[in-house]
Amino acid sequence: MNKETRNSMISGAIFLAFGIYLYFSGIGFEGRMRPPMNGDVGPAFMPKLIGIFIMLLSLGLLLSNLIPYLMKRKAGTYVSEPRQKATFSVKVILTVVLMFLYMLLLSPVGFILSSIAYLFAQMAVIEGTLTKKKCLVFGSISVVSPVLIYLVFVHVFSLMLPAGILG
Amino acid sequence: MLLTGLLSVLSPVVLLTILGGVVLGIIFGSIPGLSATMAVALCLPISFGMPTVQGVALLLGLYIGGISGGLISAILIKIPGTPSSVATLFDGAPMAERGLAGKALGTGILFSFLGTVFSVVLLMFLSPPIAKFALKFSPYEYFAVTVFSLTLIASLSEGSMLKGLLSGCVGIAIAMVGAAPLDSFQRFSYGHFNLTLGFQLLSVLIGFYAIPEILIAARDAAAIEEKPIDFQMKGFGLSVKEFVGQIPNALRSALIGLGIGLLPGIGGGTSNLIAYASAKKASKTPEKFGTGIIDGIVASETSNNASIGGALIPLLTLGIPGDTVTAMLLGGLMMQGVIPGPMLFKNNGPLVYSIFGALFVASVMMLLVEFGGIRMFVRLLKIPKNILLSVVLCLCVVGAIASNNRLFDAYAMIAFGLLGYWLTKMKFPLPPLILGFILSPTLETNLRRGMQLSGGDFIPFLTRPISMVFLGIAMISFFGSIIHDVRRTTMNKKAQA
Repeated sequence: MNKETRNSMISGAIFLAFGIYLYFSGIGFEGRMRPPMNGDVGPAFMPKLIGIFIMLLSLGLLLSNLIPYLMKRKAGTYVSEPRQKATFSVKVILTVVLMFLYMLLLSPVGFILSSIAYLFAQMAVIEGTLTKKKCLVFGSISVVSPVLIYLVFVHVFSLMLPAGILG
Repeated sequence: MLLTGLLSVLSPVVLLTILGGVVLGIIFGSIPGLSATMAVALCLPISFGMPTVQGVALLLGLYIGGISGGLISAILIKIPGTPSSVATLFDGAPMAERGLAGKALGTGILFSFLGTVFSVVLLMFLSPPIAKFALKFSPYEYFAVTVFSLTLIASLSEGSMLKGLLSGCVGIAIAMVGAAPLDSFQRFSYGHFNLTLGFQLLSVLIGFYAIPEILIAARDAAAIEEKPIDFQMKGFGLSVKEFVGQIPNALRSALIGLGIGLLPGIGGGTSNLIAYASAKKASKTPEKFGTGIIDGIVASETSNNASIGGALIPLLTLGIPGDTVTAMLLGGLMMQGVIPGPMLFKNNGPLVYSIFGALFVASVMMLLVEFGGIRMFVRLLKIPKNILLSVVLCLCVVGAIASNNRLFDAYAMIAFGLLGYWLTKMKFPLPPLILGFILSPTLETNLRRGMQLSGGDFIPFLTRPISMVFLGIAMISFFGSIIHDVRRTTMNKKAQA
């Protein structure tokens, strides 16, 4: 099975489950809500309707990929592609981890400190190798930009940003 | 009266205020995460202390600058600065990648200006009849227009129609989280306080566009090359022939922008996508859309700015704000002692003309500031992606928090970003999702209102003239797209065999 067919089938299956969940959530709402009056379709209608649409579309996606694959296999015309090893970019995983850490630290540590740490780490992760000069550049940008953003938004526009331990 | 109104805008103080508003608006519009709405909201208290004309001029400058500024980041960093510029990136970003950033920006700026001027002229001369027409819209017509807008998802679905439609449905589903329209029944909030308020458009938009960009930059870090930058451009970067060729597209897009802007709850965030889809449908070479042609930029930028005049028509003539920005403008006007509505033109004639004058001046300033800044904007491309995108993420976090003053929106932004990255990897188009998210509340509200009005009968949705026309066009457009898609797939298969 080629990668695109496999991806379409996986996403089709996930969305099928999502559609079923949406539909049954709508049915669940009917038990909790007051009966709709004056011809109103009520708040459960749209989740059920969209749930049905998602189920039909995802079934379509699943079947439109599965049927040609099965037919080709049956007819013996299917040429299997060499299975590629799933590749995970370490940099992508690290970036996701950094974003989560940034969000976790935002409230307790504050916007400025958490942003300094995130910015430096994020720039370094994408860059890969660090030289002394790059450390200096990244370091100064990481410190200057959050401080500047904080000063402008908090003091000029009176926005509330988490101050954290510096507050 | 006309002269008095216009002259009051031409005083140096007011001119400087408009310039300040336009520049600040462009900055807010161009930074992903910050929007025109936010710029107006933050400057509203400042406008209270100013004389009426100056205060109103500041807000209008911010509005025009903010809506137009989004094109800069959409073209240069593939992240729409505002919901109004989502469609600008479809062709703007590929043009920038080919080294035509200057031309893309020039075209966008020029047609933003023309879109604004077109809508302001119509606002000046045709406000009362247009507003009267808009008043005829009952829930049936709103529902029909929303369904029509949603059917354009089919045209926005690159690659697989099924995936595009699924993406649109997911957008509608995401918007269902929180209080349901009309009765505030809680759905999918699981007792979590923050979920009861639902998701903000800003955290959905920047989540789906900004976060995947950073993850893609991390994935392709080794492959990032320095892009060629186009500095050799004359005028706005497009030839007279190209300009003339775009006139029908621009006119259609301006009318779409104006029409959508008129309707409360829909506005510039939707009009750019609808105008883009319509331009693609009307084009002789629809397959070129998305590869970097000016048609896409012209459609998106003309329509989103034309929505400004459209949104101001019901605001000024009826006192009905169409979106959050016009709602804040309404607040600003009322704080200045001006009550928009049918009597405004009678009681505050000179002020109405000052508003028109301020809109014109702000449009010209937007054109001059953005055109003058092209060379500076294009330099953004020279900043290494790891630095640029990391700082952009910090700004997105600020924008997400500021949109509702809660950290939850920043968390939601990251979550949507991961979902967006996965969907992009699975080859699901994201624009239908954004369109579905924006239109979901309007769709449901008007369906339910209409059903209540008719006592549970769906027939009036099909028999009211305006509603019938829109639903008819929606069906033709939708099934036309499906047939076209099926034909294309069959032809591709035959070609492969």
